[in-house]
Amino acid sequence: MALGESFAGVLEAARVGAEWAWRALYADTAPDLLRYARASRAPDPEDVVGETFLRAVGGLGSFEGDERGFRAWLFTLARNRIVDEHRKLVRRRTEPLPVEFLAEIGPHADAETEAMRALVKDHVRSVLDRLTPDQRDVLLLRILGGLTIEEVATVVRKKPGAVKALQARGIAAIRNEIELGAVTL
Amino acid sequence: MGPDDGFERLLRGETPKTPEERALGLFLHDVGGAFPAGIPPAEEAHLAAIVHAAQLLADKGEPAVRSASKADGRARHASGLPKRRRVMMKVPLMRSLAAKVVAGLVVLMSMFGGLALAGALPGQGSDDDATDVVEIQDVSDESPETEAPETEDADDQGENEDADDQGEDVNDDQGDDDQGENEDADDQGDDDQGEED
Repeated sequence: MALGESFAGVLEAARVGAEWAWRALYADTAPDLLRYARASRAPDPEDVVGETFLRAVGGLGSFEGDERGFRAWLFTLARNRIVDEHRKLVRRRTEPLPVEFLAEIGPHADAETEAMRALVKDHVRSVLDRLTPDQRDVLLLRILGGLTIEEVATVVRKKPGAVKALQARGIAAIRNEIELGAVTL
Repeated sequence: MGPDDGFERLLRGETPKTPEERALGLFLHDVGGAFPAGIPPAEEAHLAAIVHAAQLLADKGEPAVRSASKADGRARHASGLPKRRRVMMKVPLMRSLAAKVVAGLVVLMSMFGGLALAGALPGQGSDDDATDVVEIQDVSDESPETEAPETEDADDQGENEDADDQGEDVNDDQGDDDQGENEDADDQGDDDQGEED
């Protein structure tokens, strides 16, 4: 939410192809889109971000809304792209190595820090994998995307009440895992 | 207080109030740490493609949206998808059994028609031959009807032992046929008589 009141001007400049405007929009949204794509196990998270913005360029003429609406719209495009990628994976019956995996296996810090980070990530993934896809999607959009219940409902094309129910069941499942010690870090 | 209230507070960055909320808060913190927010490494490539597409859209009103990172993807064909070629196949005329039967009948009719035109059919040649043919036809036509009953009579009754009687009966039958039923035979008989005259 870094753009604030300047969002309307940035959006108008983006409509006419101003590079600075697109840089601002990209810097404001792309990091969260990327982490959401990674957490959703997209085969190529960076490609999801790039394709999401390219689709946004094509559809910007028909977009109407404020900054939060624009953010929710980008997450909708990203989620559709991720769903398509997963369907392609099912059809291909092969699972290519994610690009992020190559970056992750390289050293970034000292060995202890890297080991702890990998441990945390494995535990988080093990808990998230116990959720249903809808529950996981709702929680990731709320935690990583920073979207509200209503915005998530728009993204996943469900009613806010259904999103609330999915969120409640997902949180209950996570709490059960915490009690079982699955998330003892 | 609903079960989601603690979750909503944690999302807003507030401090947890219960041990359960604290554990949940730790998990949310771990989620953020496992998937940190960061600028994508391909930021410049993305922005170049985005700005290019946006400027094309602004100039021409039609974006030439291309993938930013799938450079090794399949190239588009200049002429579109290959057109389906028309398969030329010879269809056999004699496909069905009915067609074969009809064709056979046509061949037979044309054959007999040709013979009829040439005068080679029985009944169109010399009178002697016609007589002979008539006799042969009479025998062949009548033999199943006349000889079999006579034989049965002979076998069953055992009375008619005279072969001449049988022959007379046959001749009588032939005579009856010539006069009554078989008009062709009558005609032939007339012809015979006429020629004899």
